Amino acid sequence: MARPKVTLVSSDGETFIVEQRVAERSITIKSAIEFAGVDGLTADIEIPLLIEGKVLKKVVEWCEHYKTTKFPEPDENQVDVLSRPPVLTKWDNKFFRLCFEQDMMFEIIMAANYLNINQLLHVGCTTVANMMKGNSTEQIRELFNVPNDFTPEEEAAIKREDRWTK
Amino acid sequence: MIFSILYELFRIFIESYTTECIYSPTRATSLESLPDEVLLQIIDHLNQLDVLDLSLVNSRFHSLCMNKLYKRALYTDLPIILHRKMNSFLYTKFTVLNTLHEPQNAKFQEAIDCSHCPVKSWKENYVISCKRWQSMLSEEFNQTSIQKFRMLRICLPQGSYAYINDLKKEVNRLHSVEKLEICISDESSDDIKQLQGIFIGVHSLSLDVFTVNKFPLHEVLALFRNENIKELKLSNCTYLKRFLRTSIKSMQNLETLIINHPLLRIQKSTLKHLYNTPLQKFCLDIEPKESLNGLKYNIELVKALFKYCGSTLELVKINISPLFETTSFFSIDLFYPNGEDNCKGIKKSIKRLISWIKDNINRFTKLRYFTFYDYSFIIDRNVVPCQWIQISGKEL
Repeated sequence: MARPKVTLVSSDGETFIVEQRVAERSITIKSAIEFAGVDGLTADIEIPLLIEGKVLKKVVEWCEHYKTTKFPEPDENQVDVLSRPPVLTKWDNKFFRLCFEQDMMFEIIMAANYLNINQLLHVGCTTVANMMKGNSTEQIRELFNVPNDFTPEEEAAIKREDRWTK
Repeated sequence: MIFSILYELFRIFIESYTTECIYSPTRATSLESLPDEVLLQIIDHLNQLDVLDLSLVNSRFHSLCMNKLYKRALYTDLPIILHRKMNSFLYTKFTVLNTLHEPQNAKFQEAIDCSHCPVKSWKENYVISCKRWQSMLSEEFNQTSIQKFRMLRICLPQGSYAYINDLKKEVNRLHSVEKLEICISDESSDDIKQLQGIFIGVHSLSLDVFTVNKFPLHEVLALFRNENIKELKLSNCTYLKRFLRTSIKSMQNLETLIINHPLLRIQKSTLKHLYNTPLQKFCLDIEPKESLNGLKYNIELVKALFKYCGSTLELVKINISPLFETTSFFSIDLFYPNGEDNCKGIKKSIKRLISWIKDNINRFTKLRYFTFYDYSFIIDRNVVPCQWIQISGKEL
């Protein structure tokens, strides 16, 4: 008997047929599947998602690539993500940095957050953080097109507070 | 039929997820459109200098970054295992930097001003460096002009002989050190003898002995007999009476003596030969008097700590100047060899002590700062500062 397939439906109607283990990279989808069949999936199912097709396509691509990878559980003994070993593979770098415009990168991060795909979210956040590293405030504003809403007085006051590290 | 029912169930399920979100997953086309929890995850990957830069981008980033920026940092090379749950209410505003555990902050660590300028370090944000001196040599000395580097704190744990040999190679660069603090354990007392002749021109010497065993203080002080020591601070030293009888006589220019030992009672007779000297005042002041009742009460507290935590407590040290009118420094140092579970009683008592200090803070008219060191309890950067230790580090 063939294994049941999961069909993910994007908000714009695009469908992606994936194996259950691929879909279950997402905790949200995994919960939905468990919600439907406590004893496991016995038939093909279709899951509607509020994610655009072009974004969902990339998320599925990531999940397909890592469908057999077993990610380590977060270590409660470690202080924070800074203590974890680097997780960005060459493939991840290519996936995020070379293939997309910034808006796509953020949409994938949002989708990972929405679908609760921790590893993808972690990789996405690391990628954005890497883009920020070493840049000045002005460069970050320019890079990510973020407007400055500080008054000159506010900015000067904050700089005074922070000068101890400079 | 079954399929359509399932589909409807999934649709409801997924929509229930979505309605809990205050943002739309389809609208994230810029950094700003990411929700706070995602931005905080991004900030987690940045070192402190990058977070500083990001905090100036706009007001939203500033408020997010403030959660991540260190307010005070204890910079240590001690082999401490950072643990998320190792928070101490005693140590709420400090974040421990450890090169082993936070390599991402290497850039920050290189940039911090470790010149130990006292005036600067009293300010709200400062760094206490407990780095071993060999790393100070390789990193800080290269970035700090010798003229500015007047204070050096060195920690000499057991087996420091090799380190001291390295230090000797840099002897020419150490001549500007006027204030020397040495943290030493009884196991390394032989090693410290190798320091003889390295420091020329030290005016202020502080010996902090990390041990409960006897320590040959007089032998160590003999290393500095040729120096013009004006200020001497001894912490947790044994053989103190012998020192007072012998070694101190050779320190002709000594102006200030600070002895940190809560259970020490110096008899007047011990200092007979120092009559009419500034030290006599110290001797007299340490005697119980009305103005010290509050502190005396709390010293009794510390005695109690020893009593019921004797098996786990390695050292409790309270450093007080004798008079409220002249006290400019107050610190409590704690060393817990074991886990937090063994120290509940200590916490309770110390909390009472801090509470007393806070209530009586107006009596310390010249108090410049208050410090609390706790070398075993490490705080997480996200811990919310508690109120009763607010006075830490502030100029009053």
